[in-house]
Amino acid sequence: MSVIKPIVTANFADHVVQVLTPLLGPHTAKRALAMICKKAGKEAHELGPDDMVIAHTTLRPMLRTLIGNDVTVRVLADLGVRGEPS
Amino acid sequence: MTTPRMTPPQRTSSHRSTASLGAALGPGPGDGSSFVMTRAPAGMSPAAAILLIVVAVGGRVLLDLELGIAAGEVWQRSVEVLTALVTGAVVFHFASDDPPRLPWTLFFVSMVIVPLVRLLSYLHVEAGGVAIAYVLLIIGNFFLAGTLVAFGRVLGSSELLSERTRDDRLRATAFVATLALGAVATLAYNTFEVAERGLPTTLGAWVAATANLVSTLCDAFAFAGSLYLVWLVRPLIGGLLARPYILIAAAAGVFLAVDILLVAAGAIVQTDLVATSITSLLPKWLGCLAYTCLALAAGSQLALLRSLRR
Repeated sequence: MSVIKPIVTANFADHVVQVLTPLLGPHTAKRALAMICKKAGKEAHELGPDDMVIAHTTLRPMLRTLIGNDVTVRVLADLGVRGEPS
Repeated sequence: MTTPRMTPPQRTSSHRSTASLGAALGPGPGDGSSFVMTRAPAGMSPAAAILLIVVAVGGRVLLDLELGIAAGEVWQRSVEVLTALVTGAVVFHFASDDPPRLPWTLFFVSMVIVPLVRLLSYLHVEAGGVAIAYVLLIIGNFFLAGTLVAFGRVLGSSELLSERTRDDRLRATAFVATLALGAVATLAYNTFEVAERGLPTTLGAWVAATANLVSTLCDAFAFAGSLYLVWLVRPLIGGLLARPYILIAAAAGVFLAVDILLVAAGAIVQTDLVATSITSLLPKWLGCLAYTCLALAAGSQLALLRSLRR
């Protein structure tokens, strides 16, 4: 039985990179974040939970091409997991 | 092969850089709340992969030296069948409309053909004096080449990997041109070696010579194609998605070396090789290494898919 120890990040941009890095590597994870910023018309530090939809619509087609729809849905679901206010 | 899916990723340099990125980003609208990553994609650990390579290739070497070539051949047939099975499992993890399904299906077909070639070669099945194994070998080689093309098209079509500057294109062209020269040199060597034995006189001999040249041509193409894949996925280095392609490239390079050694020995497939010394056993051991790398490529993709699907 594994010990579940979720990774908690306080910043949405950091969270996006954190979720994508194990899969895409650090370079491409940051590039994905840059693409979300471009589409949202915001700087990385301005991104927040309200930009979740933009993040999903930006990432979905690109991730689906690389890993298929099922896994893409799971990865994007991880972007939406939100913890208690700290 | 997989690690538990709920286990968070280890703190690596990439994660440290992520943390520093977060610090650099500073406070923002996300403040006051936290985001939780409960599921991390899992892949085969490098240590497990190396252990599997040692077991697979070491097993072949030990059996060859201790029990005889026949035992070693049986061992490698098992590795080849396992490779086909794992590749097939990857195919069935993708939906029919998922872009990666086509290249993995082509890969699966080319891997299924391998045990069939071995079986037909072992049984000496012929039609009109033509060894069916060689015909199937030619078909299998085309499927392998097609696999690389399909992988290249899928990866190149993702916006995440397809940003290219003029300098990038120049570098890629120079790189592919160098590879093409290497492939042509290899093919020329093999053609010379085959031609030196005289023109084939029977249909069966023509098919055998064609199989030899097609195999080299396709292996050279597969090697160049797989290095192109590595160039495509280089931004993914450090991520689990890059691993299968790196392993496929490694296998393709080893296959090309095996092909050159086989031609030098006057053989077409590994099972044709009459092994009398350590040197003549080398192509068989390298072949086992190449198939193990392909099995690991499929295994790492499968581990990744399974870890995120549960």
